[in-house]
Amino acid sequence: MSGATLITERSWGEGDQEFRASLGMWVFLATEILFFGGLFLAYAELRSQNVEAFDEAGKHANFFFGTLNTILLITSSFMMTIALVCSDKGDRSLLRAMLLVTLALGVGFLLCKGLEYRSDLQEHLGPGRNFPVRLPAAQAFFAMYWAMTGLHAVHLTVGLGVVGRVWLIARRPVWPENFHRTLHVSALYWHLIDVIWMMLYSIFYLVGRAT
Amino acid sequence: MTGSHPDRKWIWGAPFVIWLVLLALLGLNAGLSRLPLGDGNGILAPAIGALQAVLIAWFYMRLKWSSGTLVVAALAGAVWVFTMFLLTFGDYTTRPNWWHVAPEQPTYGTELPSFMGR
Amino acid sequence: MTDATFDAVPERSSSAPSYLEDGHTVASWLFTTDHKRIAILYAAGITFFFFIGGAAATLMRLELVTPYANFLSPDEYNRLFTLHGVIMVWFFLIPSIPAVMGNFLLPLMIGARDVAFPRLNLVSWYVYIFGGIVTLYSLVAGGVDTGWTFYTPFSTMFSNSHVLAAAAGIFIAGFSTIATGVNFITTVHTERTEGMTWFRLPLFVWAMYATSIVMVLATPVLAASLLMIVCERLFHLPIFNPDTGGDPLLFQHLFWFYSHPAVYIMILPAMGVVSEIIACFARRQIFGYRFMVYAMIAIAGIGFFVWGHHMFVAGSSNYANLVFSLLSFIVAVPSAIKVFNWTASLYRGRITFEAPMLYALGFVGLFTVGGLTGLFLAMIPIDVHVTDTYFVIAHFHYIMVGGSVSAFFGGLHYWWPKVTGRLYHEGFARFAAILMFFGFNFTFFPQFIMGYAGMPRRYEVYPPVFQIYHVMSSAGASVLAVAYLMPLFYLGWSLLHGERSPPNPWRATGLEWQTSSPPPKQNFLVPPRVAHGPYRYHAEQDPSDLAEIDSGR
Repeated sequence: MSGATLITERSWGEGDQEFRASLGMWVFLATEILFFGGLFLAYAELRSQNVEAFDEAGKHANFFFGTLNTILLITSSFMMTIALVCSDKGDRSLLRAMLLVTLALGVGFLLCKGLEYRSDLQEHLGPGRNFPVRLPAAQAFFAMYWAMTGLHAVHLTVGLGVVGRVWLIARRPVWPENFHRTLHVSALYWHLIDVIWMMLYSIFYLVGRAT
Repeated sequence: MTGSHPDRKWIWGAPFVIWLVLLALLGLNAGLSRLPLGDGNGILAPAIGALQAVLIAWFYMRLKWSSGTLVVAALAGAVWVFTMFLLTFGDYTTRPNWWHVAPEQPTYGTELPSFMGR
Repeated sequence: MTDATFDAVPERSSSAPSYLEDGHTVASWLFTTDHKRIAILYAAGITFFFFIGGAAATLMRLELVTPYANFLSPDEYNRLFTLHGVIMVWFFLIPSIPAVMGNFLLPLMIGARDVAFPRLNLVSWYVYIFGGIVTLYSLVAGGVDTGWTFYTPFSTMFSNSHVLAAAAGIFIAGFSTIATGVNFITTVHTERTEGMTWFRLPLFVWAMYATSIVMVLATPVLAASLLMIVCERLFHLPIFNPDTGGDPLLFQHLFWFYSHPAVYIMILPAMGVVSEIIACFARRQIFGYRFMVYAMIAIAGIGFFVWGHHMFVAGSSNYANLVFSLLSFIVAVPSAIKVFNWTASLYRGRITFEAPMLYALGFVGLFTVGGLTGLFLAMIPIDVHVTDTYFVIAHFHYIMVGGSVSAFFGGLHYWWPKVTGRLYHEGFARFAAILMFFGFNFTFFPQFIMGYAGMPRRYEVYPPVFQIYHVMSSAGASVLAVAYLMPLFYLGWSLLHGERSPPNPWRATGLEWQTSSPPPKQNFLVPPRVAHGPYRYHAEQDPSDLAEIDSGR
């Protein structure tokens, strides 16, 4: 097993802290993948049983906001990566700027999401009466839409807190010795939010566009 | 450590390329979704999304430069989701009325694989 | 340099206070990051929940003495068995061995100072307690009548009990399980001391590692399925409602993707405990150490692919049922390897029958019965016959109670001197162990018979022909209750007045015995080094065996 090098007596209990933090985060991210994986399975299964209704419902998803949000998140991941490279290089001012841009893009995502939810509700795509698609199974599409994008938004909000914390630490005149580790692990979480959104985008905003 | 950095150009380089590729894939995905490919649309879109996800994981999340243990941890999640799909759809796809096919055997529950006899 | 044999045992150094003496205030316990103290906190938590779940079972067994409704309405009975299941599964069994013994022993056994993320460890306990409180609220507020499985569409569309609060409580407790799993995996990877290679790890550590993999990969899917129930109940998002394109059966797939592996979260740690005890009290090396490791990893892996056997009568396709049936047979193979290897480890051993060994031997027998009846249930025709009968109840209680709880008590006695620094009364302990074995069999063996004869589960009123079995079962349950209560008294007495324990009262191998009892806060005064594999008990008997053992590892 690479990385799990044997520790010497002098460093007993210290270990390879960078590896430890990354491994802990990656194992946690695996749980996140399975958490969303369960919901993806539900989506896939419901879609396989209601193909026409899902195609019909997919046309009502807001393509503009969905695509805009995808661009925002991809860019935020890009900025986050630059922040990490800055940390490798010791470029502090650029690092702080990049973290701030990442945060701004994340907030922008949530704002767009809020506007999108509002327009969805105005179209009666939420639970309740006056659902605009006549096929009843289209409601299952929007059930998964609300559950999964809602859960993703919760994760993104947590991610804003995680990245915001790193930004606050980065503003200190003297960085703690574990700063790079904190940044790296936080970046992993932020990227995962992006990873999951890539899948969400392709299953909710592109369905049924061709028919 | 602030001020002009000769290697800032280097800082932007590789991640910028990945960013462009991700945006290009997004454009491709959005474009392909307009083409009437039948059931192909439902497969292509998540496939391209998954490719984008893998790119982010491999480069932005630095799996490419990480130890094998981390790659295994990351893969574990994906592989387990895959087996979950495999076995669950192993159930749904072998039911008589799966997908938009009319049920051929209305007396569900009586069929057996031919090698088992009746 | 300390050697992993039972000969080199350091005496307690007066300069290093034990973890118990390091701070006496309530805050020093509630805000500790010491894995040993967190284990004690968990022990308090699971003991509390064990008696709540036990009380529910007691009421049910009392009610079932007669075929008629005596003092419970059907609705109250539904709520009681749900309470029993929810509390016992998520708030006792799942955290029992991993969060208590795993927390205490894992760092000690690999020669580490603490787990990888000590603060996360403490947080996990608070999350567990918080989840427990939310769940208890749902039970106090009126209970849940869905059974611990929360099957849709009953739980989403029809039940008017407190499903939301119970689901939320279990959801929250899931974070605690995940935190423990992440912590243990990382600990085993990064905190092993010098010389502690993967194949020198004690089997208990391997069991914790395999369990953690299951925890990490299964628990999130439970969270997903509970989240969807909450979405449907709270926000009226029709995921499981067939009228609007939903699928009730989908829930069962997701739920059992978690809940079948959850059985392995309960039994794998028990296997680890029993491996330690049997090696020690047979004074033998574990037979086929590597195969024991591979078997545990195989159980953890294959255990994920068998969940469909819970759905043989639910309307799954017959082809899928065949596959799941086959996979369920396959998972029995590594389990059988383990039983055979434990038995082979006893061969030519110098066996002594201290209380931990009695529990461990009881485990092997009861686990074998539970496992073999599991094969019955993996066979589709028999499963169809006994689905939702007491046969199933008896089967999984043989695994969870006869297996896991026996091993828990075995481990509790085995490591009691290490945890508390006191010895317990061996006579009482042996009596309780034997009583537990017989009480358990009296309780659950009749359930096999009446289940096979057709007694359905989850009914308080039943045909009088089954009364004889129910009376036997209830009588056995009262014996079992006495056996569970006894340790409270003699272990409590030992805690206050017991004789002081030497560092290694069992003359066992393993790093946890190489430090004082109870261990100091930093676990080891000198960082331990390991030069050879575990279970070097042959050294006492035939030194020539040692070369073989060492080269084999």
